[in-house]
Amino acid sequence: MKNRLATLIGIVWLSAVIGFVLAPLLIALVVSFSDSELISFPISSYSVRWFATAWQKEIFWRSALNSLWLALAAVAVAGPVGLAAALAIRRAPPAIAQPIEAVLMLPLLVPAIVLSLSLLVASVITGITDAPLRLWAAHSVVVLPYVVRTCLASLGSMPRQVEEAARTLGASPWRVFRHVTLPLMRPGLFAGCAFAFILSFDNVSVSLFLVNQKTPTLPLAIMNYVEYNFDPGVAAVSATMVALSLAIAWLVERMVGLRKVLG
Amino acid sequence: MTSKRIDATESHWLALPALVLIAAFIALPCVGLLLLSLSTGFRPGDGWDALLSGPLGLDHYRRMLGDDFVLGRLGRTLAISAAVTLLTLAMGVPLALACWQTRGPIRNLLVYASVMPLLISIVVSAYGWSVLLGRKGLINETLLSMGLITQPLKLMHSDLGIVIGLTHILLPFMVLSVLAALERIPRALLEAASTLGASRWQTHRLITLPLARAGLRSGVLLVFTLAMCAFVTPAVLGGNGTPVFPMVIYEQFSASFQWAYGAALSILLLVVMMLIVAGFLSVSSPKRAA
Amino acid sequence: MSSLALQIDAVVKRFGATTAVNNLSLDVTQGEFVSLLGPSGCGKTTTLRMIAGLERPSAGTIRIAGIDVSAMPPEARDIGMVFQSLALFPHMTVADNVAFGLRMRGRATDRLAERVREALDRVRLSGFEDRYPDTLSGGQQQRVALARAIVTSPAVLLLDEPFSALDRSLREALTLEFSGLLREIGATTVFVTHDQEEAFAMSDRVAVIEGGRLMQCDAPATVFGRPSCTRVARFVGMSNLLPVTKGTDGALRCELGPLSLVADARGVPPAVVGFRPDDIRLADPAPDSAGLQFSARISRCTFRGRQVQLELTPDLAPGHSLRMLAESGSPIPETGVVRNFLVAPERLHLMGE
Repeated sequence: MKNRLATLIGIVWLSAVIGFVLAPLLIALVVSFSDSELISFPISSYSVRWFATAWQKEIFWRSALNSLWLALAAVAVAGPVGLAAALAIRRAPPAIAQPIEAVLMLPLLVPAIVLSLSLLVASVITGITDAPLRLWAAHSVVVLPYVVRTCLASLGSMPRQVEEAARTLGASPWRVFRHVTLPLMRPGLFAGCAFAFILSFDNVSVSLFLVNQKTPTLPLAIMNYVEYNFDPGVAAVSATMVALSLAIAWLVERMVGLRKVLG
Repeated sequence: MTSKRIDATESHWLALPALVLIAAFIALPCVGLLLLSLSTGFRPGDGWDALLSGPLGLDHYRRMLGDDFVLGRLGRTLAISAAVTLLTLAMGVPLALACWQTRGPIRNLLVYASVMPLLISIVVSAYGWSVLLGRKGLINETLLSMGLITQPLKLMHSDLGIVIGLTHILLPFMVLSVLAALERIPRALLEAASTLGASRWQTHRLITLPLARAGLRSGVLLVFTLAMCAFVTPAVLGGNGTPVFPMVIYEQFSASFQWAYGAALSILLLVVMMLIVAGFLSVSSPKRAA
Repeated sequence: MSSLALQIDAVVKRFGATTAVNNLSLDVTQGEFVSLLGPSGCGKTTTLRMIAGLERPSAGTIRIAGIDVSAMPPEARDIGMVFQSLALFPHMTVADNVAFGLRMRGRATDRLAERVREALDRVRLSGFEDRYPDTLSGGQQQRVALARAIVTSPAVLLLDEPFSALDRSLREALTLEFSGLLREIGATTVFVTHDQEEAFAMSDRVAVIEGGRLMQCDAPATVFGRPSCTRVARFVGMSNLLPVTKGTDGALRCELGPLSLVADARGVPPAVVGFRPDDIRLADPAPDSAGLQFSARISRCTFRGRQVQLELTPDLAPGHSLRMLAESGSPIPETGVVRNFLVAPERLHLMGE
C-alpha cells in the first residue's frame, strides 16, 4: 500500500518535472503558429504566416547565415585539432595524457562571461577587432572539448590491437591512421562535430561581447528583437532553430548516442 | 595492449595545435584580464604596451571589497544559485532515478526530455519562459480566466523568474551527473536489498543514494557554478538593473566603461568559484572512490 | 647448413623498475617452429613484441634474416603476426584483410586477388572473400588472421596465444591443422603460449621462460623428460624434487636413500633429483634394487577420476611430502598404512639447481 502511494507520488512529480522541462519549448512552438499580431492568450486562430514573415526579415536571415558560417568555421577548426589531440592523449602515457586532457577541458571550466570578456579585452588591446575573426576564435575554442571527448570515447571503443596489427602488416603510422583508425572512428568524429555545430549555432554567452552591429548571430538577433517586439515572429524563428537543433541531435543519437557526446 | 606502446613519443606533437589554441584564446586572454585588473592608469583604447608598462596596483580590488553594492549583488547571486541548485536536486534526482530504472521507449523519452534544454539555445528557453510568465503570459491569463487571481502575478522580471529560467537550463547537468553515477551501481545490490526486506524507498535511501554520492556532488557543483556565472537568462528574465553579479560585470564594460574595474570583478568571480569548488570538494571528500 | 631466421642476442626489457625480460638469447633456424612457454607474466609476450618491433629492447639486439632490426619500426620488418585478440579489421572484408599486408608493402599488385585466393585456399576458407569478420565463427576468424599473416611470406611468423579464446575441441583441431600448414609452407614460427600440451604438440623446440629468463630450450620430449633445472621441472609436472649429495665413494644419495644406476645430468654437477608422481610404484622391499627405494606412510588419498592422488610421508624424511598418482582400480592400500615404494632408475632425473 505504502509502495503504491509512493509510486503514485513519484509519477505525479515526474510528470510535473517533464512538463516543466518541455513547457517553454512547447509554448514557443504553439505561439509560432498563432495568427495574431501580438502574443496573447488564448490563441484564437492559427496559421503559418509568421514563419514566412519572420524569415523574410533581413535581420533574421542574415544573422542565421552568420551563425551558420560561424558554426561551420568553428567545426572546421575544432574537428581536426580535436581529433589530433584525442589521438595524442590516447597514445601518451598517463603522466602526460592526463594533464593534456585536463588543459583541453579548460574551456568548460572558465565561465562563459569571463571567456567572452577576456577575449574582448584581448581583441581591443591587440587591435585585432574584426568581429568575425574573434567570434571564430572564441567558438572554436569553446566547442573543442566536446570534439575531443567524443573522439576519445570513439577511440576507446576501438577493437584492441588492430592498429598494431596494421603496423606488423607493413603500414606506417600515417597509413595506419588513414586505413584503420580513421574509418573506424568516423561515426564518433562526425557525431562530435555535429554536436559542436549545434553548440556553436545556439551559443549566446560567448558571442555576446564579441559581435558588432554588422555581424550578429541568430540567437543574439532574437534576444535583441524580443526586447522591443511582441509578435510571434520570434517564436517562429525560435521554432525553426529548435527544429534544426533537434534534427542534428537525432542524427548524433542514431550514429553514436548522445550520452557519449555529453560525457 | 593499446597502441600506446609503439614508440609513444611520435604522437605527442599531435596535441600541440589544440594546446596552442587553448593558450592563445583562453590562457593568455585570462592573463590579460588579470593584468588589466591590476593596472591603474589604463583607459579603453590603450594598446597592450600601455597595459604592460603602466603602473600596477590593487586599487580596483580595494575598491571592490569596499563596495557594498557589488558585495550585495554577489550575495544575492549566491542565494539565487543556491535556490537553483536545490530545485535541480529536487527535480533532477527523481528524473535520473526514473531514467535508470526504466527500459525501452519510456526510458528514451525520459532521457531525451532531460537533455532537451541542453540542445536548445538558452535564448529560446528564456523566450519561452517569458511568454509563459509575463504579465500577459499563458500562466497569468489562465489563472485570471479561471478566477483564481484578480491581478496578474509578477512572475517575470524578478528573481523568481531568474530562478525558474536557470533551473530549466541547468537541470540536464544535474540529471546527467547523477545518472552517470547511478549506472555504475551494480544491479545485484538492489536485488540483494529487496531479498533482505527493504522497500523501494528504503533501498534508495540506504543503498542507491549513498553510492551515487559522487554524481550528486558533481551535479551540485556544476549547477551551482554555472548558475553563479549565468548572464543571459537573468538578463532576459530578471528585473531592472543588474540583479546578478555577472550583469554588474557586464555593466562595467558596456555602460560605465570601467574596464579595469570590470576585470577585477571578473577575477573576483573566478576566485569565488574556485573557492566554492575547493571548499565543496574538501567538505564532502570521498573516503573511497564511488 | 640452414641459416638463422631469427637471432635474439642478450635482450633486456625494463619497464620502469621492473625487468620483464632479462638477458634472453635465442636462435631460431629457418623453417623451425619454436614455442615460448611459461606462466602469465613471465616475459614471453614481451619478447614476442620486441621481435615484432612493438616494444623496443632496453639492451641487446634482434636480427631477422641476418639484418639487425633492433631500431626498426614494425612496418619495416619482414614479419607476420597473429594477435591474441586476432585484431581483424572489422570495416574490411576478408579479402581486404588478407590483402592488406601485400598492399602496404607494395607487392604483387597485379596478382593481388590471386594471392589472396591462394592464401584463403590454404587455410580452407575458399569463397569467403566478401564476408565481414563479424559474420564469421571463432575458428574461421582464426584462419583469416593466419592467412593475413602468411600471405606475404614473412621471414618470421609470430603467434601470440591465438587459441586462448577458443574451447578445447576447437583448439585441438586448429593446433593440428595450423602446425601441419606451417610445416607445409616452411614458415619459421615463434609461438607464445602458457599451455604445455599445445607447445609440445606443435613445436620443434620449446623455450621455457620464467621471470624473464630463458630456462631451457630443447625438443619437447627433452623438456618434458629431462628438465634442466627445478623451475622447469616443476613447470612440466615433475613435482617430486629432492636435494642430492655425492658420497666419498662417488655414489649419489638423497634423503630417502641411495640412488643407483641413474643417468648423469648432462654436463651439470647434479644437485637435485626429480621424479614424476606417476613414476612411484608400490614394491616389495629388495636390497640392491636399482633406482630409489623408500618406505613411507600414506597420509592422504584423493580420488580424481581416472587417477588417485596419494600423499606420502617418507620414514626417513618426515618433513618432505611426496606426491604419487596411481590408476584408479589398481590396488591401493588404505590411508595411514606404511608401505615400500620404488622409483625405477630410468624414471629418476638428475638436474642442476
